[in-house]
Amino acid sequence: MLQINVEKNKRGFTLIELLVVIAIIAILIALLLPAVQQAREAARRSTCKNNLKQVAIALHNYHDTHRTFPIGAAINGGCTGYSGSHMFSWGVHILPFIDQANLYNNLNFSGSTVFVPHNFSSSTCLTAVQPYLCPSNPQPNVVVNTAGTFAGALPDGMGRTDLGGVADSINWKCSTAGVRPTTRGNGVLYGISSVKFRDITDGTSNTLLVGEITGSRSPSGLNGNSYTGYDVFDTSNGINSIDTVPGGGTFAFRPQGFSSYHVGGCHFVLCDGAVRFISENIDQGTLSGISTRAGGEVVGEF
Amino acid sequence: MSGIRTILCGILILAVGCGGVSDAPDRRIVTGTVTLDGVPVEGAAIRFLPQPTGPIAAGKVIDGKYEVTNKGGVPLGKHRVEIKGIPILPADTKGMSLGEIDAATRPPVPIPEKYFKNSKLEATIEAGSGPHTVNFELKKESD
Repeated sequence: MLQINVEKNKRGFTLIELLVVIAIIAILIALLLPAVQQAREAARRSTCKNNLKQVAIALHNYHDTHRTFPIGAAINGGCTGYSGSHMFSWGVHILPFIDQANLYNNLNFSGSTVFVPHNFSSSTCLTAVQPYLCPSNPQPNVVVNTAGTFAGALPDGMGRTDLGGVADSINWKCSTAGVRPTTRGNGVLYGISSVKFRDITDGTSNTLLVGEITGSRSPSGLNGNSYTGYDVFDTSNGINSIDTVPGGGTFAFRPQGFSSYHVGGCHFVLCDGAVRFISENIDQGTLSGISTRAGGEVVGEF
Repeated sequence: MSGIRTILCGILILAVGCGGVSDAPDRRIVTGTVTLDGVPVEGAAIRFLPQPTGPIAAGKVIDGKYEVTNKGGVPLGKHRVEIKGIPILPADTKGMSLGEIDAATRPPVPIPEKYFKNSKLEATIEAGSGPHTVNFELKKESD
């Protein structure tokens, strides 16, 4: 009897106290769960930034070797010709500098349509290259073009890219016709460009070099851009603007400017090799100013 | 018991107070029509540039109508508006190669340069509910 009495006098938790503790833990978990999801996106964003840094270093190494930045994009005949053969874009020319020399050596640069190489096969050449892909982008790694409006315009299985060169502040295309890249871009990577560091008089830390692009998430129809073709764009419509899925639009045939699935903006490589996340709400005057290589604009912080 | 209630209320208030800060301006969807000498413009790009500074908002004019919806529309306030003709892609391009698509693409509607370079078109987007309608009547001759 005496022992039982001692047991009864031991202190314990009441039901209310337990419930309160459980409620507090529940609230803490509820606070933490969204933070965990944010941490995943933050990690992807960080990986993406690292990819762009690799590309920045590759472009600088290309400049060190060839004394110029690579050709942005081109088609034989420039603006006037419709049927000229495409030339490989900057994304192909820097392959040896991002540890993809074998891929580069597989290519036939003398073909009549080098855009789609003669020895093209999705397994042997022009597969997706990791630094060109953003981990936040839910699209497949290759160009899918099985059906839809532009079926046949690009073959299936070419390596997709999430990066595009900054060609111009107004229009990356020839003003007169079609979808050919202009040879008079005021950026760094445009049609038949051969820009050197000494041409970037606005300052390398005030000039954009490469930015992020996105494509369509629909499995049919052309879903993005290949790094082989003319992979250069302009900043005239801002970031995440018309025809981009992250901007709330519907992708139409080709990326129409820079965008990304990171909420609120996208990454850019600057000519000095820095990688910056630029908000979609950047002042358009500033964005134009940092798109040009020799515009003479005075730009503030961005 | 009142002590426990106070603590619970405190936690709830803390939980509600956790919110982010955004640099996004207030926006509103803008729609309307664009005509050149009374004729609806077949294809063009329309851009709203906030004055004096701010993020651009852009849209496409198709068959004389436009709607700017991306990122929630056009930032509220005064804008300088630029309208420029864009090449018109063929309606049906199934099975065409890039070269064929280019060949079938028609040149842009000849909208005078005064509506693009240093355009003097203006629009003021006011706060309100529903889309804001702004129509543009462009004229070829200089006035």
